[in-house]
Amino acid sequence: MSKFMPFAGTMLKNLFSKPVTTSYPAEPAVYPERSRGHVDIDIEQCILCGLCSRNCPPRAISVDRAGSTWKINRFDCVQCGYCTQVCPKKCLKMTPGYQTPGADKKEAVYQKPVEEKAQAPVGGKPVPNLEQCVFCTLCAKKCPQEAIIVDHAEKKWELTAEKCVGCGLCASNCPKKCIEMK
Amino acid sequence: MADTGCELIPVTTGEFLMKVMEMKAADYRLMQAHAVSIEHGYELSYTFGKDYEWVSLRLVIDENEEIPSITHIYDAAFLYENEMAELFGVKIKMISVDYHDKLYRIDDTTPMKTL
Amino acid sequence: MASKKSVVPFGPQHPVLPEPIHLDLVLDDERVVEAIPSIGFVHRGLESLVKKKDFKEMQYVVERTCGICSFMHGMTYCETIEHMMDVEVPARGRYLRTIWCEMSRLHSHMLWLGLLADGFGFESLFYQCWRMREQILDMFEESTGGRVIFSVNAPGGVLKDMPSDMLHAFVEKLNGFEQELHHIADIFLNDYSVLTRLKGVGILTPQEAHDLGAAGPMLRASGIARDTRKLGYAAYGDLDFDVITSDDCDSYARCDVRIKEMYQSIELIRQAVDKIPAGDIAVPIKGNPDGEYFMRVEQPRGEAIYYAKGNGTKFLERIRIRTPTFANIPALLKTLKGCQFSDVPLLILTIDPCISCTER
Repeated sequence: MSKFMPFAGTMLKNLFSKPVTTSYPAEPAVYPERSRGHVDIDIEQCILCGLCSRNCPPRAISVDRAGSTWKINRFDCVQCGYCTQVCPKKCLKMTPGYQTPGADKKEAVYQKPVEEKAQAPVGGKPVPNLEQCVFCTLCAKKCPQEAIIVDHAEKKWELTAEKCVGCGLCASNCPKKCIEMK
Repeated sequence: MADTGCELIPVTTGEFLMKVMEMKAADYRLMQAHAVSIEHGYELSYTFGKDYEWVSLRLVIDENEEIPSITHIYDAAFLYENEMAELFGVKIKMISVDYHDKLYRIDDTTPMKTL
Repeated sequence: MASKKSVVPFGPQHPVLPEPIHLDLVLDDERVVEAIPSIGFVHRGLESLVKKKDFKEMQYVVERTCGICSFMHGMTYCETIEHMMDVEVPARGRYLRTIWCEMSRLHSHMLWLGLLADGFGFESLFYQCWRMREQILDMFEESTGGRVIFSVNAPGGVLKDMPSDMLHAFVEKLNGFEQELHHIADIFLNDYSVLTRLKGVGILTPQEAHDLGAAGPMLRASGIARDTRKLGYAAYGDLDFDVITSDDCDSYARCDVRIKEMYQSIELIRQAVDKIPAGDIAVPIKGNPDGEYFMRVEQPRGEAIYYAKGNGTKFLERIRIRTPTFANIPALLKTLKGCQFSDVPLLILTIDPCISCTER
């Protein structure tokens, strides 16, 4: 059963054919569509709730609510994509293209433009108008921190203030528009 | 009783070696052994298997209690027992190949022992 | 004439080792009498991270235990949590996991074949094997987004779907891969110089394999037919396959078993692509894990056992990973007794050592 030099054919063929490797960086790299290269943010939609920062496994993201900035240290990021799943506004996306090597770890800073009249209220805690409230429990379901407890049968509305991050999702989702961020 | 994937048999320190020898006599192989740190003690699990079925011996001990090694019955247990002794501080006597806390070359002593 | 005993240190840095392991070899002239292992060069303490990362984030930590069997670590962790919380993954999610599992097994065995060729000095064959493996890594990047770490598992199912045109394109590529595999397998199993290095080297009798708790191809090459995939986790209960064994008990048998497993994996992927149903790929998880669970799967290197214990909060209390290489090290020490000194690198490679899995 033992053969003598069965590899000789492949070896001679390889001697006379061009290399299999691509000549990167002379040719640009081609990444498939789903490639998880780096995290991109649509900063207009970001509400600075900080959920991505709290859930990032290597803690590469930091959110400054006072200064309205969203920072990511691209050298610490492991491209896992968990932040894209936890973002309540779905403004984070994984796009192809890897961070090029560098001499020191720089952070990429995104500044959120501060508007006169903010669309989604940021900061403050939700205060419902209990006379208009129908206890539909939608605010409790939308709360990313599970800080609101609503009981439809007992007609109770309760907030755990320490858990609330003031993201305003409850106010924007209320069908009766009866929650105010104070 | 909730399904835990593998049948659990609680044993006491006194009957521990006897049960392990029964496993060996019934031709079970050692699959794994681990420790979980609980309040003032440890919960040890030794898993044995035969063909596709498996069973775990569950031993709950105090943090200062000494237990005998099973390496003289099952040769392959020395790695598991050295790991339990080094990471958790379980006091195991008479391990056949004893690394004396140098298996994983870490600086802290018993880093996974909580409470 | 008295023979000379000497102790030679092997590793942690050695050209043939993919990961660092240290062995003190006690030699009697050129024969190895005893081997004393020493590990601990890549211990990262991953199991202690359960205190800091909640159970959903922990998936990303666990899948980075190893670069080669990364998908299966993530999948086993998710299955353990799902059993603990009594969640059933929809059928399409289970089939997708099975397809990615078998592709993982293919690329892992291909990597091993390349390392084995490098181990006995046949470098051009090593490059050919890894060139073929690149096709599978490209398929991974197209479907999951990453070549090595996929991040596509979550407790409750999978995060990305593979539409049917992508699946059929993959089966086409695997058909081409299978043709190239015929040629490579022919060299590994029939070339004269390869046979002299593999046949009769590193014998492990079935009784020894059973007593020392060996797992995976190491066990099956000694004639014992045990494959954890037969337990029917993920979609393996619906697929039809035999357990591959060999009766030769030497390094040649282990090579033979792994090559046959590669053909079997391609066949399993074809079966799964034919049978995959339409539907959801994940269910949402509510609440926190409570209780404990033992789970085992067949990773490319053997049987891996996971144990998780929860206490009702979002942080798990304990996670324990018993990887197959941890179980194969005592079997390795047994095969090293009595071998020639120049066969030591080859014998270490035949257990398919994944030391970063062993030490976590």
